[in-house]
Amino acid sequence: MSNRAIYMTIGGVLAALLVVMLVTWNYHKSNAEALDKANQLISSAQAAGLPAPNNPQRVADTLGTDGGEICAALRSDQQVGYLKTRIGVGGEYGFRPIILLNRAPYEGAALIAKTYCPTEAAQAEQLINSLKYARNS
Amino acid sequence: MSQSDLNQSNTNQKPLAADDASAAAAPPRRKSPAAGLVTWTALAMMTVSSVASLRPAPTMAIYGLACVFLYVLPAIVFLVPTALVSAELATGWDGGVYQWVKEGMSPKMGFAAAWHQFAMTIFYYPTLLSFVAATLAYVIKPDLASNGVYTAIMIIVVFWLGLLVTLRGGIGVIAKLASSGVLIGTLIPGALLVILGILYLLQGNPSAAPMTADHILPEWTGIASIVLIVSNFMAYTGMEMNAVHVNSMKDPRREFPKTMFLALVLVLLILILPPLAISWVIPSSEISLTAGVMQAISAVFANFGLSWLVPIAGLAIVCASLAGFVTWLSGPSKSLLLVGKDGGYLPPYFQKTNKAGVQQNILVVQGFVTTVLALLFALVPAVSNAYWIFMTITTSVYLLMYLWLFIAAYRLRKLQPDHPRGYRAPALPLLCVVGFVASLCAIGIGFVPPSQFGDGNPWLYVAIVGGGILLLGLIIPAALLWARKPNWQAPVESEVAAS
Repeated sequence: MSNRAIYMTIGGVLAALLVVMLVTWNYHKSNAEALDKANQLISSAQAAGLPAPNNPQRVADTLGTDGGEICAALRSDQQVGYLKTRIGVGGEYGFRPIILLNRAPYEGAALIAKTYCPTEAAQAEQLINSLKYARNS
Repeated sequence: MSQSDLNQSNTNQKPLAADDASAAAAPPRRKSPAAGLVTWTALAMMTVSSVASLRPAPTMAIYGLACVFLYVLPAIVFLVPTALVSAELATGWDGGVYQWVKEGMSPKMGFAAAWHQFAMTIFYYPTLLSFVAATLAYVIKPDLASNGVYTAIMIIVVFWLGLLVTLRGGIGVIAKLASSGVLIGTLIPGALLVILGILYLLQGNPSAAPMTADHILPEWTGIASIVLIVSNFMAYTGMEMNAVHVNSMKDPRREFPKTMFLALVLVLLILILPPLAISWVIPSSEISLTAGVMQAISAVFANFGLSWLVPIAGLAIVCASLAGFVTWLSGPSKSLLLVGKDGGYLPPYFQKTNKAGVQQNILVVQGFVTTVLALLFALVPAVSNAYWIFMTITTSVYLLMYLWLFIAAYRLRKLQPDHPRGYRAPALPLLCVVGFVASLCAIGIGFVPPSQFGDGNPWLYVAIVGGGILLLGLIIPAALLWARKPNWQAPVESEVAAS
């Protein structure tokens, strides 16, 4: 296989993937239901005394109606395992675990689970409780 | 290439801080059939793809302005020493870290250094490729990310396709793919994030993260802060890795220092600016640590009504990950090939190369190991749950290589001061001491139990990490040394031009 053939094959595969991704991407994440859930999430965060997102539209655009990456990850042990490899700091290759300051960022994730994928809320709680934090509050 | 050829080439180019006198006195460097296959900019891009990406950006955005400190301090104590020392060594000796440590310490330590560099890649690929699988799923069908079988198939298929490209194309193709991948998947999306962040501020919006002087440093929380700061020393590991391809450059003595300086600047920009831009636009309450780079990009794009760009950004980020993947696939395994041949440390089976000069049997065996690890990582919850520990162990083993690298560089300056080098790092002894101490600290901090270990017994953690380092960093290479046979030694050929 010549180098040109390699480049053309890779280019072709990537072009096909791009078409598939452009066709399958949900361009209407921010519908009425998504906005409703975004408002629910913001209210829950405020009620829990957590720093609340200030832009329901952006939350709706990002999380849609399904909770996005967080809910998808909570449904899979493998993805939760992957998340654990990404709790840390570093670059692309050199990435190391750390001691998290507090639970706040994860409490937000737990609220997302409760709002968007309540069946995974227990998994979220379990993950949060399994971690150690520098501060309890 | 004759001496006069060496001296006359690029006469119009002023080398960046090159030691002209020693370069002029240099004996002819062995001409590789692959020379000229890789330009200095392509090698710089390969280095960038090995070290930096947008993947850690959301995680670091949590720290707001303090992420600048978290990246600048390690840059001073680790990145600069590694880049400058590697630039000096690569312009003096062929063969990358194995050859440097062999010359500066001993052949056995050279083997250990190459092994310690290679060992890190064993557990790296399944996580990187599962990220690729999840990114594609995020755009195409989010539910797929929850499917272990999908993830396992994606890791295995992408790994073997990448391996096939590496085997067929050789270093010339890898360099071009890596350069394109970094440009498409890291530099352009990173620049877009920064431009959008600046636009956001120019529109009169206040930065979501405070950008005042009292937020320059991360909040002090005792040992957790020390772990945070010292752990990030590792952010820049991989800068030296592509020096093994130095023979594929037209004029390594003049070109490699430029490669390192360009890579150094790009790595700093890529790691620092995108997280900062995200922190301007998205409040930390919205940047959940559990959310990945795609979600952060979606949130920034959504702010400007550009959500339609997300699929394109997703594919671009996949391209960058694949660029890093093929670069890592070709680098440390190449070092291992040199070790296997030059020192006779590996059986002849592992020394076999194909027509493109690529270490085919090492890569194929690595492919089978990765396949098994991918299946375990994707399908066995106990393994995926504990995978972060394997990563911690291998990163510590990799840091051992830096200890040997800095010792070797220091000793080579003392033992072979007149050996011609295309570039002499300023204050090399100081750089070596700083880099050595930083690496040692990073290894030491790896023994402090992180959040993932929960309320487990700290001594158990020390035993697990220590035992892992002992097994992977000492026992396995010692066993390979013990099993070595003199007739395994073979002449080292340079890379064969693939095109």
